[in-house]
Amino acid sequence: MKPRTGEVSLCIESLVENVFLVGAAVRGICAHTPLAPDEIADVELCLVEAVNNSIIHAYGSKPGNKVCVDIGLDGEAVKFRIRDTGKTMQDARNMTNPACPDEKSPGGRGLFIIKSLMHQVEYKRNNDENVLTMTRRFSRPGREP
Amino acid sequence: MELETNVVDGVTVVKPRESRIDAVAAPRFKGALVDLINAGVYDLVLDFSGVEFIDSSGLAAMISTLKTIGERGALALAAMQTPVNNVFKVTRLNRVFDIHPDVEQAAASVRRRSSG
Repeated sequence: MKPRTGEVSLCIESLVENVFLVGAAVRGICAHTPLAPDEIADVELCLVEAVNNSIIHAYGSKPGNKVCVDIGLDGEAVKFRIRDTGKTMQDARNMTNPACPDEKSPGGRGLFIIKSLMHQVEYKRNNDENVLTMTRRFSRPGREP
Repeated sequence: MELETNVVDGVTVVKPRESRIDAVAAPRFKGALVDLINAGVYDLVLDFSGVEFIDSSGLAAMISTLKTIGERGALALAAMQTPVNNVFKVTRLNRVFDIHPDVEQAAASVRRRSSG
């Protein structure tokens, strides 16, 4: 059966208490794709990490701001754009090439998780907006022929 | 976070009563574990059978717990669901934590390491 296509956007206030809503929406949408349940769990985790990053780092955990997620299905992949108007990433390279943190270091794993589980990750500052783009194709990372 | 605790042959088995250890739950999870450690509980098994989701905040809480126990005791993780186990693998924390398929094996490992 041909995978369905479409786009949807959703926005939450910058509170970590709201992030599970994004995760639940993404899980529901991905259930209509060829992704296996463990792959859907990976995608949900990446979205949660990306939105947490906007709330905690871009907005400094201050409520009253918006984080928006655009979700697109094109028949071959699920694509996400996570947008916020918080502060710019100091080192944009960290977004696309995060180092694996020291094994006993407590933090810094969010971007590494995203990079490890998504096929494509890109960060841009567009005017006053941080835009993180992530793509997960309907085949596993590193397992393509 | 509310934890279900059960002592089996000197090892305290702790089961979180929430299915998500995310940025909301992680500080409470860490706080509850630190309270246990401060009360003198150093040999711990975390029963993850009811945990369906963990993010990097939850992992940070786990690493902090491991460091707080330090040389005073031993910590093992048990009965992880596949998505949670995958998060430990992708972050390579499966090399840092003592992970077992069930609580009995995890408790035996803690007893062994703690007495050794």
